[in-house]
Amino acid sequence: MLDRALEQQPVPLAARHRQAGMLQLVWRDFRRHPMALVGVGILSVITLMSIFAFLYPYDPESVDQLNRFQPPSFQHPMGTDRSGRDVMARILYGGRVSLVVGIAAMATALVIGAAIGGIAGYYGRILDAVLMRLTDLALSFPSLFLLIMLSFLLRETHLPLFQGGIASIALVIGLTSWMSVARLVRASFLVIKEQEFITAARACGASDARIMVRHMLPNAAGPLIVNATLGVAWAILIESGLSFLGFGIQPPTPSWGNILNDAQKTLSLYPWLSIFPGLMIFLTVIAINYIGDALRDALDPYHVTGRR
Amino acid sequence: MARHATIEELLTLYLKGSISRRRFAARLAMLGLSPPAVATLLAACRRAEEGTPAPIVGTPPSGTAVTGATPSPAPSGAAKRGGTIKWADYEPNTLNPYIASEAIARSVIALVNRGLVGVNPNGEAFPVLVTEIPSRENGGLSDDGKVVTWRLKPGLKWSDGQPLTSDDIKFTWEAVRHPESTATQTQGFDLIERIETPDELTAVVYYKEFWTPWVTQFALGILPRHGTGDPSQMGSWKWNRTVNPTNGPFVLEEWQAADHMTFARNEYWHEEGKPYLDRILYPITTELEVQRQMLRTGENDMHHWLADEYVDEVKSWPNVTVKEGPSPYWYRVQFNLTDQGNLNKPHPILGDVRVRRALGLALDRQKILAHWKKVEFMSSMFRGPFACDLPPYEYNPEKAKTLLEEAGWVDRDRDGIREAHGALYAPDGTKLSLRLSSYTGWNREDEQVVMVELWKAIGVEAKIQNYEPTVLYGTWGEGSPARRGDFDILWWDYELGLDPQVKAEDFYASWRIPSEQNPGGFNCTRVNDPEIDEWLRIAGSSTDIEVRRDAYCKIAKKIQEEIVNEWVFGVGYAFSASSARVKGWEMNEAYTPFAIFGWDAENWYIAE
Amino acid sequence: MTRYIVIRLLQAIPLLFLVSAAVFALIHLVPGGPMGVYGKNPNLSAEDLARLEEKLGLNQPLYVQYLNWLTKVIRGDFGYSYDTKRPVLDEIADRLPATVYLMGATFVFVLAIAIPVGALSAARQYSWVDVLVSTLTFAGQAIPVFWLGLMLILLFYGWARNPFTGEPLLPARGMSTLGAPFSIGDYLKHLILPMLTLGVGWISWYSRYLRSSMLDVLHQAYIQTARAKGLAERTVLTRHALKNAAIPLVTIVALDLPTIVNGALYTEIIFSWPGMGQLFFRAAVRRDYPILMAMTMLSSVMIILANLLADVAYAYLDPRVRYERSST
Repeated sequence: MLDRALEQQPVPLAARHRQAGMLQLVWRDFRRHPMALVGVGILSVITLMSIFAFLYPYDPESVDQLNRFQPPSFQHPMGTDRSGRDVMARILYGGRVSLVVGIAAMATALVIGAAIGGIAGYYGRILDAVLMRLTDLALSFPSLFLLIMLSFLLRETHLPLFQGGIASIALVIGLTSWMSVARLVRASFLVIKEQEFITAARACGASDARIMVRHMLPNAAGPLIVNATLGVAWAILIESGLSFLGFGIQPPTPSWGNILNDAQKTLSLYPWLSIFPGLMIFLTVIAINYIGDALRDALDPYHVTGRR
Repeated sequence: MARHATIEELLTLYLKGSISRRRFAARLAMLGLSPPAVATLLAACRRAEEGTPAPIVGTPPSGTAVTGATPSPAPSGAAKRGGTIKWADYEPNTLNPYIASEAIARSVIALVNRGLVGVNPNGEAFPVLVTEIPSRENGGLSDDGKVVTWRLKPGLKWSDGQPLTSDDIKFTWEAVRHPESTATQTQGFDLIERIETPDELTAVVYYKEFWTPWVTQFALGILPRHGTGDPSQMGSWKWNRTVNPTNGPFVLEEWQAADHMTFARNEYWHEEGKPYLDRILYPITTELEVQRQMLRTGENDMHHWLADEYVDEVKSWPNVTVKEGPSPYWYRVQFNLTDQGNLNKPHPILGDVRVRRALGLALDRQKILAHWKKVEFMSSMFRGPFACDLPPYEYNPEKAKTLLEEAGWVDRDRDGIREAHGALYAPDGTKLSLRLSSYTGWNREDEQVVMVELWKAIGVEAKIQNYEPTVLYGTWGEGSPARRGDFDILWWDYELGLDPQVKAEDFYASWRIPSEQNPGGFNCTRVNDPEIDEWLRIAGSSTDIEVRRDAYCKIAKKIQEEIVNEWVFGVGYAFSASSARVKGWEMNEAYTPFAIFGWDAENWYIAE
Repeated sequence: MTRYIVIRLLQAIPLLFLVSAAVFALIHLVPGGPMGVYGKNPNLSAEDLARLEEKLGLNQPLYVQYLNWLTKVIRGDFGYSYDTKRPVLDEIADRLPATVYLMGATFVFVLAIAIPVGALSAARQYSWVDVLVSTLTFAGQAIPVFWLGLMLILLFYGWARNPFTGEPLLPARGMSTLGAPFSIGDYLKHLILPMLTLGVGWISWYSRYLRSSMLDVLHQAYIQTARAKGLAERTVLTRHALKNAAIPLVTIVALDLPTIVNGALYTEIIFSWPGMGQLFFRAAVRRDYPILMAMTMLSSVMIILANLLADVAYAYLDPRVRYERSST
């Protein structure tokens, strides 16, 4: 199931939305999807709540042993957990973690994938062959195996950036999901590099790196944005899955996945502890997926929706 | 060593420098005896000196040598034969008692294979396959303790009808001590020089030197010479999966990997009329939640590990019985005395004993363990006949703050965390920030978060940094941070077991400090104190309970007052449950691996 | 075509070597090791640990360990599990049927629902059916599979009762009721919750995929032609549109085939299903290197075969591809 994000077909890009008027065009297509607008709404609320979590009166790590396993109430809207911590606070801060992991993982995948796919597509020949075999190799690993092993490996290195292994998990997910980006970028570059404006840029003496980053990448942006959006949702699901197994974000740093892992130990006694984090994952992922779907419609001219 | 050395001789040899410290340590590590057994042994020795023979070692509490005693009082007339129960639980990895290392495997093995003796909830040995516990009085134990004569009950049979003889005892020893056997329960077996079998019922075990826990030597199980195989291939014996033939109250009928096991009554079990149950069905179930729900709906009759949170809930179910008993796990906070395990370099922060004491004083253990259903607090690791009279560990955050100020840790920048200003080892400005480590997956974070708060209250920052169990418990070569000394504070548990000697050495002996040469050493905080080493040697080489207790208590006192490498908590309670209709079972977890859920399976019966 | 398959298979061999070396390095690089399992065992002395390490060959340099493993594997010997001490192939053989049974059944279930649903929502684009299906499939893709499993247990095992017997409505562990006589009904009952847990995301994915490829086909000229010829809409949809829309789906299905041997990690753990996913989880936690190696190799082989199968199937089913291939 985790292979999904890797299986998206590379879609070549035509330079339809170019320069001026692009945003309006995108917006025109995008707003035709009411669910995507709802998705934007949900995602905005969740993001804002996570960002402004500090306004919420409870601390996610402050323990109150006299008030363990309280059911939802006015005081604790989502109840309290096994250590008497306010679940709402943990979910708000957990949302930060899950969103940060999702975005950072996708950013990692984009950087790696764009570098590998871009070089392969731009230079072609041996570099292309070698890099694409590397991509094939990466795709021949069972992805869940790779995820779990890498999470073991990186977790113990205790990367300093964030606590609870946030950086490690983001890196792990990024390292296992760059392949589709690489293929996408390569396919786009193969098409774009033959176009006149690239020849022109080269004639003006622009360096290869500059051509790739300044001229070619923006023209491959459409499908990449779609891929990245859906990738964030996917990374959030993967993070929650790994944390659920106990291999992801380490408690007491909250993430939706490890809140669920914790809650599962008292599933039938205190079901609300399991329901809320699950709902949050569900809402976030579905919102992002709707947005991604609409973006695909708006940005990706080759994708078929029948709306043409 | 060509000739047999007594403990005294061994000690003399060591003190003269004739044998290496490692070798001495290895020998001493084997010394140990159950507390009550030591008490009786001691009394016997004294009386023997006075010329009166007396019972020795391992005699059941009643004081009379019991023949064919059952682990727990036989159920009254209510017990009846027949019926099938279900026990939904995890899957064991093997049924070979000398390879198994997990509690669940030991539990299932208790159904199918038994040793010569068992250990009851009081920590006393009782005879299972033998007529009585050997003693000087009954001629089973030589005066120097180096010759043990085991006498099997007559008429014992393997589950295939073949006689179970003294030769099987001999074979068990041959198999386990074989260097290629991959056995993991080997202590004491290499100290046996030979086993003689003058007749089918008698096995005479000759030790190279006195080994105090000899009574539990064959407690884990007996392996049949026929039906198993070559000891060097023990790891891959088919028998490990079939246990056919075996000697327990039940035999394994079927084992469908990861799905189920079924057990049937062993018709050759030696107790008349037992076991009561016809069959035990064992659906392998990997979710605790499902195990519990199955108990509620009657699809499961035995529930081994009842989580603390569920105790009250499950007790309220009308069709379920819940029992409790001390768990084998002893929990404590440990402070690393060294910088990254370097014995010559004290830990920059924890190197100062005042800091360690302050950290301890800030810990309110009631609060830390408040979520445990039941706890027994201990002021040292020594219990039973070795319990020491120590002042209880106190909780006093004010005193802790004063100590920290004294030690040069002050919060001048008012950020809530103290910094070094004239501390013993830390350069000025160092933050009083430490890593608090444990293993993942077993809710150790529950206690850690409380500790973090308590330390925060005295201006100490603790960051939780946990490792997977296989990482934390790994060997030196595998890079275990605990063994490498790459930690600040540890919060973990340890099985205390029957006799304190081995554990005390593990915790405090300088020769148990982990290193490349000693990859499995357990003295992770690096207590390196010649006085403690000496007391450990004295305790380990003495059969006198007073001498031993005296030595242990000196150790405990020094640890508590001067070394402070640990702050001691306690032993939690374990809970198990069964359908109300299943009777005759008792908890017996405190002395694993010799005692475990399932130890009395022959007494289980269904009451209607 | 045969030549093409042979070449692809030959190309796979060096790839497998690379994968095996990389996996071997990775799992040995990971902190912790098989000895950690014994760390808590108070009866295992340091000497025993060292002896076990030696017996398992874990104290040798990594490349020696790898070469030892490789030479044995080439002879078909995958070694013994560190955990159970049984031959690795026995362990896998024990788990494979349960996983193939669960995944196979789920595949059938998924396709049986996803194909008609996807086709219908494409044919009735923008109708209420389409909106409903689209909402459900988005939901299906967003539910974390382990959470769904837990919720289903809570609902159908913990809460809902069979009104006649008072027993839980659906069982939540294993493949069958232990101790009950064999019955197909019992097996099917045990299949429902795991299959649902696994299937929901899958159905959503497949039906969305089919919907979009069907829409693609419906806009092609030959469909318009078929309609113009006056064929019944039903015939147009099933004969022409669905048949062509299913081609890309076949390749997607082929690419998903490796899951049949990989098993479903979360579902198997939650429902105590005795399959490969559980074996993998157990082996990963305990650092059971031989099992991990064998499972990843099996899985890599399946991935390579599935990719090949997808390409072949695509070429076989889509005449245009075949034409292009034969013309070059």
